[in-house]
Amino acid sequence: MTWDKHHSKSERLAIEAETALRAGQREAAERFYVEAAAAEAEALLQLPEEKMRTRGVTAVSSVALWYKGRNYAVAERQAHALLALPTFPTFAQEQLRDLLQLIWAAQSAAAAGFKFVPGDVLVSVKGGQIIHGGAPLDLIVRKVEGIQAVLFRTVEMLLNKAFRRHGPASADLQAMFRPWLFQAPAGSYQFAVRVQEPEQREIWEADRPKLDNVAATFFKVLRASAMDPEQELPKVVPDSQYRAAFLNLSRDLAPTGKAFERLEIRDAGSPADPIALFEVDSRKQLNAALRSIRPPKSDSPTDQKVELRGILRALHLDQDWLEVATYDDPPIHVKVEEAGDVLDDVVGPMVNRPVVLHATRHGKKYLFRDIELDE
Amino acid sequence: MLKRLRLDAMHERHRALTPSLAGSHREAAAVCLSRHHTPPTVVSLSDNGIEAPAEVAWDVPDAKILDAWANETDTTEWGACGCVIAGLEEARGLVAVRRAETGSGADYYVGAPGSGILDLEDCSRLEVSGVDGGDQREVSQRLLRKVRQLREGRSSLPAIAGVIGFAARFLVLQDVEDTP
Repeated sequence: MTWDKHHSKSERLAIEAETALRAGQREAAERFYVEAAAAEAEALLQLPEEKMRTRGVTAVSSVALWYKGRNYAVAERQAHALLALPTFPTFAQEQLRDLLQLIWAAQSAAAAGFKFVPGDVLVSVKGGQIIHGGAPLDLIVRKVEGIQAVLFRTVEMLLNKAFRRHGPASADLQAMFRPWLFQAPAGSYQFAVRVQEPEQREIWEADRPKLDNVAATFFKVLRASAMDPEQELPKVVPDSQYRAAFLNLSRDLAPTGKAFERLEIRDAGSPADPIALFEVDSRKQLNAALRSIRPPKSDSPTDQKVELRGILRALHLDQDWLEVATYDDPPIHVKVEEAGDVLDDVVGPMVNRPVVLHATRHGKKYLFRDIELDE
Repeated sequence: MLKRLRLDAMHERHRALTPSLAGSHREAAAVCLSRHHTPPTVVSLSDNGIEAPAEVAWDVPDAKILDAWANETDTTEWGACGCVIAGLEEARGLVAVRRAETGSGADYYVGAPGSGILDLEDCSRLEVSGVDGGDQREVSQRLLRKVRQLREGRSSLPAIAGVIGFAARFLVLQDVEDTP
């Protein structure tokens, strides 16, 4: 038997697995993947050392197939054995290290008995202060909170929940659909997010098709927000309240260019191309889309538009106000009214952080118009 | 003579494709193209910067096919793969000779017909991307990003980047040479 025979067998079985997966037959797919992995491991044994490219490609393929067949122990063992070889090609070493991270994450989740809804979300932050594998903690915490807020809103929209104007997502929803943060292969700075399945899945069985679409819908929402928020987002999110919420949340994911320059959202299933790409210009587009869906406020001719920069120090949305401490020395605490329509998950993460607040000065009063994070 | 992207019976010419796989690529390509055009249409086929028009024909997908390809992301990816392989065949006479798995999917390896039987030493990796909406500029930007990724990235193998913009009717191919 030659490399050709074994690799061809592996190719056929992997295609069978992919077909089964597309038909929703996960167990059959895993069986095919394991058979394909075994054939690929045999193919690797047939290759002499000098066929570097073919060895590298075949080795990665074999480990990937064990991983896809959920045979994590064999995948890990084979990856380690290959990485220990002194003559193993560099390009394949990098790919095997990436695969090992995926294998370890999957192993830990399986050992803990957790299940996740289909689709992993990869988030990469690049440029500015970001270095390879490292980023300012506060920046990443904010982006994780922002992603979590979009995920909860996505679940609520899919379940046709009444639009949440104030407060966090309901406690049962938060407990049922916990977003998890995973380490991802280092890009510039990258993390992965998965949504854990409800533990009492049977209660949600009727909504299962919707829940299986959480990641896919999340991707659609963010792609439309990043690419064409005025034309595309209404197709994905017809409800104008949800649309405004997603526009606000997306804007706070987008960079200002100071701390970082780009945020990319990828599907871990096909990570080569970003699904959504937020750059500095994205804020302008998102602002334009927000302006187009907000009912215009009727300012009187004597009113003045003002921009307040400072730290968001206090808010009481039920009483319709928030307060910004300016950068003056000593700071001036400016109370801004008519802030009751601001969404909690938009403004909550801004507390004690630098913000840009757009307001109208009406006599001695400041009336709220818009607020965004100032990185 | 006008060039032509051949999406039909690809498994007969590309040894990496089985009949079912070739059928899936053809169906997905038809769904993507039908979102923006009616058959046949002419795309601009750019190979290392040299452009030529190429005709592409497809069967308009019925409701069953549209239902089967409801996931837009998957459909764009599968459709792009079929079109880029067909574009490479038309532009350079290269065919998809092998598939190999990665953690997140599978890569195609391309070469002259008859290559890739004993090994992949003379083959190139094909890196495919699809853009559903957007104009030629967006497709070109995607290609630039793809090429940059390949140069910075995980493989020192020679590669060909291929991007199709379905709305833009623009298919671009570019060689990415060995990185040190």
